[in-house]
Amino acid sequence: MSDYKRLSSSDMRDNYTKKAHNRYHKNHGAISTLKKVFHYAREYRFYLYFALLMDIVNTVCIVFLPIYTGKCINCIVAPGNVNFTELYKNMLMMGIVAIIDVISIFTSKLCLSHYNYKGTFKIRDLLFEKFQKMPISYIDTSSHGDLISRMINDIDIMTDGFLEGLATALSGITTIIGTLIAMLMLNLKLSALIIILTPISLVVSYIIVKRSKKYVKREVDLQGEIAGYLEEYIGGERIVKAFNHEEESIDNFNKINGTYAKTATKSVFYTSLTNPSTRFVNGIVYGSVGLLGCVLAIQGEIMVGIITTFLTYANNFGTPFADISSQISDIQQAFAAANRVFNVLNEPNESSDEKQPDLLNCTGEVEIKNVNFSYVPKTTLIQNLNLSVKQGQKVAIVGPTGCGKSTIINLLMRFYDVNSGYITVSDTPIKEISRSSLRNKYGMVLQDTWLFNSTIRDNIAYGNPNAPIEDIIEAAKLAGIHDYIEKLPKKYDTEIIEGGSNLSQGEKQLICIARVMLLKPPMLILDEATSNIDTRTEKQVQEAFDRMMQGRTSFVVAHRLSTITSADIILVMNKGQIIEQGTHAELLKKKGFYANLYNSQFEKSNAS
Amino acid sequence: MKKKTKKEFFCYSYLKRYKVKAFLSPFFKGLETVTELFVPLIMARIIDYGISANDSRFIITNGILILVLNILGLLFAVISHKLAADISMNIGKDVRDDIFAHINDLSHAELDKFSTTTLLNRSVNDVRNIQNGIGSILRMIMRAPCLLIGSLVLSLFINIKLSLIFIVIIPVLILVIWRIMKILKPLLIKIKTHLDKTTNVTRENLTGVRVVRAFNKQAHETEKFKNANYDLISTQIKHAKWDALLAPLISTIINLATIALFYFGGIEVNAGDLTQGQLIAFIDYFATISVCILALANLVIIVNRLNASNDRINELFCVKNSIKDPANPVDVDFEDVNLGKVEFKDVNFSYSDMKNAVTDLSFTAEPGDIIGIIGGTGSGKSSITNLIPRFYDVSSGEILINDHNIKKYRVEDIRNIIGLVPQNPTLFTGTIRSNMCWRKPDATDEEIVKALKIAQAFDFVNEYPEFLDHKVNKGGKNFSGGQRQRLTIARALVGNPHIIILDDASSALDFATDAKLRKAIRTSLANATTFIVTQRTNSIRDATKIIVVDNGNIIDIGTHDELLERCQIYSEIHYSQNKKEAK
Repeated sequence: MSDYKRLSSSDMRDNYTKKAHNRYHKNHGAISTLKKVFHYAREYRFYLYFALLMDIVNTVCIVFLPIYTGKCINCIVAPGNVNFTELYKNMLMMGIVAIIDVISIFTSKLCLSHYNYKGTFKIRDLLFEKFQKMPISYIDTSSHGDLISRMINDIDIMTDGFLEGLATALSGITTIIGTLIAMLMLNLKLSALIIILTPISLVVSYIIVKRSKKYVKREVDLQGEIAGYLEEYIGGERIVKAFNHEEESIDNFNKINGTYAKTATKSVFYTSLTNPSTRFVNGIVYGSVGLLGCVLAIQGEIMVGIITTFLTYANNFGTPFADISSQISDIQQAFAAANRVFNVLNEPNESSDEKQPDLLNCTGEVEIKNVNFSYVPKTTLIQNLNLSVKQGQKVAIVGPTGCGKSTIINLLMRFYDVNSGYITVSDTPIKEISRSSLRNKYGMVLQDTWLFNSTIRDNIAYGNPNAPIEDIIEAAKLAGIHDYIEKLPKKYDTEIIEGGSNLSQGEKQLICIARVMLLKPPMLILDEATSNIDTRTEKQVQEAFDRMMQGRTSFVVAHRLSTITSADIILVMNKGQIIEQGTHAELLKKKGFYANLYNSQFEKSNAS
Repeated sequence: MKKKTKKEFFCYSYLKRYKVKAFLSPFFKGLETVTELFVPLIMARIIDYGISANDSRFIITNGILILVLNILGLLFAVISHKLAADISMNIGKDVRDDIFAHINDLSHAELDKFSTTTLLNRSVNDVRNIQNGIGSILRMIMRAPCLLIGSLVLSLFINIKLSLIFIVIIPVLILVIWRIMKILKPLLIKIKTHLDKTTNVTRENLTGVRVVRAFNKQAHETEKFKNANYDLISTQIKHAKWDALLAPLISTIINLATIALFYFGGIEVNAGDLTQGQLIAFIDYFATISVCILALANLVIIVNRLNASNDRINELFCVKNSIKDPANPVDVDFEDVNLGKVEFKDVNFSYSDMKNAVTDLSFTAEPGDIIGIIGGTGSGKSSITNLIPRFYDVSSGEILINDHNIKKYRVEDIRNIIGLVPQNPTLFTGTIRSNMCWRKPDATDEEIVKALKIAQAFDFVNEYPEFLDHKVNKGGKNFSGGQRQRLTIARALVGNPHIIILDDASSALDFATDAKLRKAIRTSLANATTFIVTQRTNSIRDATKIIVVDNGNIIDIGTHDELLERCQIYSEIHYSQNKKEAK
């Protein structure tokens, strides 16, 4: 768990979540959302226009195909009564229309998917850039899983929903209009029958969707419950065994599982009814059109071929309605997903520093003057902090876990800006220089090491990708990790997998140190590990830290006594505030919080 | 060649539990199909006889027949689908129950072979594939083949020559579908890989946001993301291309076949071998056949997915619990003070085919002793304590509790003797009380309070208005790391265990709390033997015996003072943590 996520006490966290909650649930109107989607994808709009054009062409084909089929049938009446010349003509027309049909469907689909995926690409890119530009406070207070889910799932749901929705709507509407016109031109009575019967299928599917929706929602909830239970108990399986808790956990599971099966049976049943019901309704339409058609044919009003034409039209006319209604929930989800994505995109960026000059000469003097800061407005955290650090001095920040030691780092690096007062580096206020030039002057090694999936070499050269291998090796030597890397089969080209799971915690930290050593920054921010480092590498890390700090102004979140006692200034923090400040000797004399903390470390339980 | 292993798990065998329903569901589906097949035949008769004979009654009776067939079809479908939903969901439930019970039966050694994610995926996603797959199979197994064969047979009856067109077209359709699916499948896998990569870059950047900004690498990271993102959409577009081709290709084939149908049909009708109505029926059957082939292709995909899931679940069931109760177990008297006596005799242990994690360890702990175990990560510290509750069995040597080999006890009994605090402080959803009752289901409030006090957790628990009924969220995420750790310690102490194992259990506690905790255990649970696995020498300086471990080897055993004197590794660790005392 990162220290940086635990910003402060729990009530503050509540405050954050509430704020975050409001932020996440900001909803926009459907039209403005849609406008925004089109706006983001506007440079690809010609794909969309072309798709629309192709859909219209396709509709014309769909309308004409049954007409030619009907005409063919009309040419084939009875033995000796087959008009072959007319038949071949119609067959040829059918063939031509069929080919245009294929080409238009294919092109339309292709254009739409280009439109869709290019739009996805752009929105993902924008979202990622947003992550890079937004204030760190946003990322600190949001769940990373949630942000990732917006990046991956929500954008997928959004584009899928809009793509499918768009495709169905485009081709659906053109088909409905085209078929309608053709039907009315061919025969009014049959058209009227189809127009009257089609709503039945809509009503039927509406009833089914409504019924199944209720159960599907409960099914999804219960499924989440099952997955949650399994995650918790399979994850804690070793504890379950240690406490002989297997039977209880199985019993509980069987109960949830049973409830789920009951609900799921209903939801699956209702959902699976869609197909047979549609078939039923289609069957009725088919029967009715056939019957009326026959009656009309007897009366000589139409020819037999028209019946087939109309049977196809009945199908073509009804399908888009069913398709569109089946898409509605997807489209709703797409809107919700789009809103979640846009809400992040609408977040403000970090205040701009483009016009600010770079910090050029840095001697390593840091001055903190009358600084007030808190993460949450109207609460107090750091009050009137004053600190003057000369070049090459070592500042140790100490205090119990969760006391807010990282707040100081956040302010020094300008991850957060102070509320009032100012911080200067070499007499320049840090608010007046570019963030990048300020951060360049600091070398930072955090407790939760961050390595990315690439080679060791790339990881060390992160701050200077063009560094020659000699410099990289030199940095690794200074960090004391060179010998270790040399022992690996692929040496500096060893791939680091998944955040460095193939390295020990200590080794990871040494690589992070090498990364900083390569840049030789004038100032350092270090975060000593509390535990979970193996004792052997811990010694190496400590030595590397000591080497690094020589001659550099350093801020160390300290856990080890040696670091603390040798520091020039000790900042003692508790509950987010700096409560004491001074050297080791001064603070001991004071017999305050620090003295207590220091002494407790050596209390022997057998001595009392 | 891979050796074929016996299938321990075969999802279709669960169908046996629902024999009658499993037979009836496809049966009714078959009936539905039959009703559907007759409709075009009747329509053909209406057109041929009804219209030419001007017989309105004939048309109406047959029209009613079509309606009746439709209603019957719907009825059969509803019955079939109800049964299919019932069976498939119940099989899903049965399989999940069995998997969860099986996971609970496995010992640590077997669980190590699977990650939590794997287990979760198998019991959630794979089971879902199976239950949905079985549902689809039940619903489709009769329909598609029946329609296909039925249409073919009926069209053969009508006219053999025209049916030949079907015989030619069907293989072409199958070939086209098969070919495109073969292209689509690897593309889908590729999309998944690219999607994972995109997710990874995003996650990396969120967790490492400070490092990225500290090194001013925003532009570089954006470029990296763009590349991953671009790879993703290029593959997606490629997939979409082939996918877009499938439906138009099929409809072209059908349209071309219809044209052929007219060509030959015209000749046949002209010669009097076919009627106009029959030709229309042919066109209908043709549409049915093409729909069936698509449905069958879908069924093949479903069955493949189901089989793959079945194999993955089977893999899980093939792993059997290796730690079993003895045939004639020794009974445990939980009042016996000597249950705290633990003896290791020449114990060696290694995880499956890896180097030794514990080598030649022998020592004795009397009730009330504190045994410290110290060493770096991966040195084998936790392996020693994992052997006592029989999470793993020793490779050689033996471990005795109260002078009996632990293999002589029931596994449940040994674990009841022990109070274990794991390295990762995990709590379970519920209340503080429900978590505290894990070791002793009927623990009283006094017992819980006593444990909370020893664990230094009483003070903060006491501040909650609901006290012991305070809610615990999933994983105990509503507590801080230190609080969670103290609660897991209290959980292990409820009901006075004879052996306490603290596996690096105070890492999140500050030194003062840690010291108070150890003192409280010593005074309140004086007869309990305590094992403390740690990285800090200060936590174990008052231990009866300290075992120093490095790389699976036992370096030395002794008291703090003895080890400071003679054990180099130990003194190195100690002085690096307490520089003041050096020299």
